[in-house]
This record gives sequence, C-alpha cells and structure tokens, in this order.
Amino acid sequence: MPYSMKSILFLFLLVTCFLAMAVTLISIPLELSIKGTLISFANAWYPKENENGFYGQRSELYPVFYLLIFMSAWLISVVLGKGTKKGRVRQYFTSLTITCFVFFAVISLIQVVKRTDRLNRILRQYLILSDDDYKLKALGLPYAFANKIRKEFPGTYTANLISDLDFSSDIFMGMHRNICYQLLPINVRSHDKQDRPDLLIYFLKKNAKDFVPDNYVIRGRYGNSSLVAVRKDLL
Amino acid sequence: MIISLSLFIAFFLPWIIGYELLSLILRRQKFNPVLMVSLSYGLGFGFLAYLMFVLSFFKLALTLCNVQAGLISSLAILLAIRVIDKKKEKNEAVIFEKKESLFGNASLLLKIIIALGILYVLYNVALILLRALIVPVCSWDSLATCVYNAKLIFYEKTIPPLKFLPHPSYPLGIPLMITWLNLNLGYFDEYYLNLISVFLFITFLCVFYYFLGYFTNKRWALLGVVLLISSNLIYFHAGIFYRDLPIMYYCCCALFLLVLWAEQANKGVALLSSTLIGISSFIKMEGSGYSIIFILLSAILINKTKQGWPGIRKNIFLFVFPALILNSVFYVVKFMQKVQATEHYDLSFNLLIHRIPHILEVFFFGVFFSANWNIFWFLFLVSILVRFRNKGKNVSIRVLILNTSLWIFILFVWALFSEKGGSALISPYTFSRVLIHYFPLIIALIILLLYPSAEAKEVK
Repeated sequence: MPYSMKSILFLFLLVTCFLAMAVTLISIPLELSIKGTLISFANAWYPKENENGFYGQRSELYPVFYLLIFMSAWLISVVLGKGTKKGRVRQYFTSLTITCFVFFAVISLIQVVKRTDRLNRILRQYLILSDDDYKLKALGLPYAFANKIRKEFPGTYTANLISDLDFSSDIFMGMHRNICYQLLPINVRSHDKQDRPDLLIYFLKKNAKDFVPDNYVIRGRYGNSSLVAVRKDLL
Repeated sequence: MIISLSLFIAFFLPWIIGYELLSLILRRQKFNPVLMVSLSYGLGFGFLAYLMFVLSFFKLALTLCNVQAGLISSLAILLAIRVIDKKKEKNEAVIFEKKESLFGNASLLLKIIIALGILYVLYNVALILLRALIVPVCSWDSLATCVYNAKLIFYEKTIPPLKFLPHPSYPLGIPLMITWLNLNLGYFDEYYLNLISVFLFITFLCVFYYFLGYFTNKRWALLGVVLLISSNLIYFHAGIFYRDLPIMYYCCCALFLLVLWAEQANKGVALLSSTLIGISSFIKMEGSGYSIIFILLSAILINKTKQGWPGIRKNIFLFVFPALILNSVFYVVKFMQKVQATEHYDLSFNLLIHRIPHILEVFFFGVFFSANWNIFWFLFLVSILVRFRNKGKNVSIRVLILNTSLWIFILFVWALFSEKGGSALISPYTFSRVLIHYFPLIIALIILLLYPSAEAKEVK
C-alpha cells in the first residue's frame, strides 16, 4: 500500500470533515435541516424494506454521493499532491480507491444501525403477538381467510377458488398466490382443472350462494361474499 | 428438544453424505476442514434433492422413512467405498492450504480494524439467523412457486405431474430440500426452512474467504467477506427462501474451484467444480446457461495447460461429463412429461433495437443507483481503472473477468431477444435478483485487483 495506517487515518478524518461541510452545503438547496439531510442520506443506503426486498429502488441522491467521492479524492490528492503529472494521476486514482473505502465504512455503519433497528421492530412484534396474530399482521387477509377454511376443513382436498377479483391482474395476483399457499393441503392450483374438485371456495364473490352448483352443498360462510361448498358425494 | 433433534438430523444426514461424497471426489487429497465442511453442505443438499427426485420418479412416496432409507443406503455405499479405498493408499495431502495468521505481525491499529471486521461479519450473520427464525414465508416467489411447491410435495408425498405445478419448467432442487427439512419436523414449518438458506450463505462465506485467502492473504480475504455481507440484497436474500442465493452458492463455488484448478490442475477439483455447476441447473433454470459459460471457460483453461491429447480428453471428460449428466436429468423428465424445456425460450428478432435503450437504462440504474449493492459496482470500476493494467495478466483475474463479461453478455442477449423472459428480466425487480448470481465475482475482482501483490510491483 502506498499509505501507512496513520496517513489513512488522517485521510479518513480529512474526508469526514469534508463530508460534514458538504452535507451542510447540500442541505441548503434541499431545504432540509442538517439532521434531515443526514436522514435522507441514510435512507438512500437502506430504504424501507418490503417483503420483496430492495428491488429497483432508485435514489436521486446517488449522483451526489459519487460526486462527493470524486471531490474527496481530489481533495486528498491536492493535499498530498507531489511529483510529475503522471504521478499525480496515479495518486488521484489511489485516493479515489481510499475514498471509496471510507464511504463504504460510513455506509456500512448506517446499514448495521438500520438493519438492527428493522429487526428490532420485527422482533418486538414477534414476541408480543401470538403466532396467528403475528402471521396475520405479516400476511393479511389471505392468511386469515385461508386459516379459517383450513380449520374447518382439515385434511387434503382439491378445490377451485372463485372470485370477482381478477387474479390475473398484477394487483390481485399476489393475493391469489398467498391464499393458495396458505390453503395447502387444500390444493387449489395443482390439480386437473377438468376434474370436479372436492371444494368450491368463493372468495369476495358477490351473491356467491347463487353460483353454487346443484351437486355441491354450502358448508361454511365467511361474511356476505365468501363461502365454501362441498361436493355432495363427500358428505 | 424433539424439534432440535429433528433439525439436527435434517442437516446432519445430507451434510455427512456431502462430506463423504467430497472425500470420494477428492480421493487421497482434501481441503482444510472448514472448506471441506462448507463444500460438503452444498454437495450434500444437492445430492439429497436429486435423490428425492429419483425416488419420486420411480413412484416411491416421499415419506421421511423412504428418504432416510435412501440417504442411509447412500451413506453406507460411500463409507464402504471409502474403506476399500483407504486400504490402497493412506496418504492424504491438503490442497490449497496457506498457513498464515490473521493477526500475525499486525500493528495495534490494524488488529483493531481486523477485530472490527470479524465482529461486523459475526454480527450480521447473527442478524440474518435471527431474522430467518422470526420472519415467516411471505415473499412473492416463495409463496408463488418455490416454497409453494415444497409445501405441496410435503402434503402430497410425491412430486405431482410437472404440468400441474406453477411454472412447470422450473427446477425442483430447492422445493425438495425444504420438503426434506419439514419431513423431519413432521409438520410444515414456516420459519425453520429459512435455515437451509442461512447455512448456505454461511458456508458460502467460508468458501469465499478461503478462495480469496489463497490468492491474497487472510486480511484481504476478510475484507472481501465484509464487502459481500454489506450488500443489502445479499443480506436480505440470506434469510428468505428465494432460489437466487442458492444458485449463487453453486455457480460461484464451481467457478472458484475452476480458478483453483487453473493453479494446480487437480483431478478431484475439476470433478467437484463440474458437479457443483451441474447441481446449479437443478436449483434455477439459469444454471443451465451458466453451465455453458463454465464449460467454455474450462475449455479455454484446458487448452492453456498444453497437455497432450490424452490429458485434454481426460480433462474434458472431468469438466463436461458430470455437468452434462446433472443438467440433463430434469430436462429428460420434462421431455418425458411433455413439458416445455423453458418458458422463456421465445426468441424473437422483431422487437429488438428499440429495447436497447431501456435495457441499458435498467442496467445502469440497477447497478449504480440502487441501494442493493452498496457502492461496489462503482468500486469495481475504480479498481479496473486503477489496477487492471498491472494485474490484467493474472490468470485468476482473467477467468473471473471473462466469466463476468460472458454472464452480462448472456443477460443482455436474453433481455434483447426473448420476448417474455426479456420483459421479465428488464423489470428492475427481476434484474437485481439475477445480478445476485455472480455478484461475489465483482467483490472477488475488487479484492484481487487491489491486493498489492509482488507480481503487480514487478510490472510497475
């Protein structure tokens, strides 16, 4: 390494001071307090988590970070800059690498704090709530609905799920998959659809009882628009 | 107590089979114990998945008793082979071992930094473990395909005809692993299944550490592990059950072993890497595509060894045969059940040119403007700029860069020419997940490029 540990520590302090100055300056056009700016910076590196991860979450602040990295590296190479033009270019690139690692250290620190905080919140819910309530909070209506049916119809069945909701649309597809998963061992998705299923599950279907075929009997009602019908020969 | 015992058996049996299988593949050589245990885990669970698949194919019910019987018989056969083999030769050589201390000759400041690095890794692993045990299955792909299939197989005690499964062409490796764990528990648990993924991640960290340690030193290897675990998406995926992290394990381990083979041309290592890349095709469909890259790279490396035709023939056999066999198993069954080989094989040459700007946009924003990867893609570019001139001749760096380039090229071609698959890929959601598959290569390249080796100094 071209730098000793002491000089790296010095550079670390230098970059930190520069960053503090930069944050103060950036907070003015953003019309935020320094604390507010710092929070937006922190959130950019660990956005609010959802069950499908951080996918595709962009942040407009990233160009600012990259600019800060380039400028910090430039500052270091100016402070330490000596020698020929070629030597200065090499020094700039080395400074750039070190600056990246300084940023990485800061980002990692933010991430650890936010990861801990996030887990802490989940853990509190997990400890306070019962398993059913906890899952209900995490998985919502599909879990509650499927859970009720499973309790009433324990065992393995084939079933069709009928609803007014368009399960092929992006909005309700997740709900459909969730219900089908929670309903298992009542098998909705993976049986021959030509067969007469053991159960017909009407979920959010207006006037559901009017749609029950003759060879099925209503055995469970869940509100006005949800019910389960069982094939007569199974009774 | 019963749950702990069931979990212990669920992990121990495949693990020990993996260990025996690994010992058989490496014959009279071995890795250091940590690496042996880490590679055994993936190998054992891969074997388990194939075994369950074969049992189900021959119409045997996937009950705990049947699967355990299959595993114990396999273990007995492996042990018998080992005993016979041991009689012939007793010497065991440790390969790829570098003996050096993490703290040796370090200044106090450096010791503190190393200790902080270790603490950071352990703390994050603890967070992942805790998270895995308290968050039930709730992410999209788990509910829709991966864990859904496992739950279905668990209750049906067999693999239903593929056409009835959601995405029938998707491999069943992960669902079968989850089924096994729950068969041991006796009920379908929504939390413990995440442990398979967590252990895959931890064992991968060990492999990654030893791989980097072999080409650099233990401190730089630790830095690599710290960088890897600080990527948000990797951290997130380590505690949930998607198939992207497992395929990362298999593909990256296979590639690391291929790079190590380039150093020592060890027969067992070639066979092991080929086996791992073969298993990757039973984890996720992309595994088959990555197998092609792997075979291409191994052909280049075999060519570089300048052996005679018998040597080349032997190496081709070692690299291609296991990968091909393991790849073809699921495709043969799909063919027999008249299921499409892939849902994304819809090449279209009409769309295309107008897609290029969108693909580039998704790639650029997904890589540089996303919180998924920390600043590593940026750091990777900086490393290339700063050090590639000095380190570009290093074989390991060349292989990793070639693999990364081919991988990105395949993704680009797929996004460009496949109507359905391409549209899915260029949604930012899928794209970031696909990037996980070979993301550790980016970290490995950063470390290998920035490591101040003697070789680099000479070139200067």
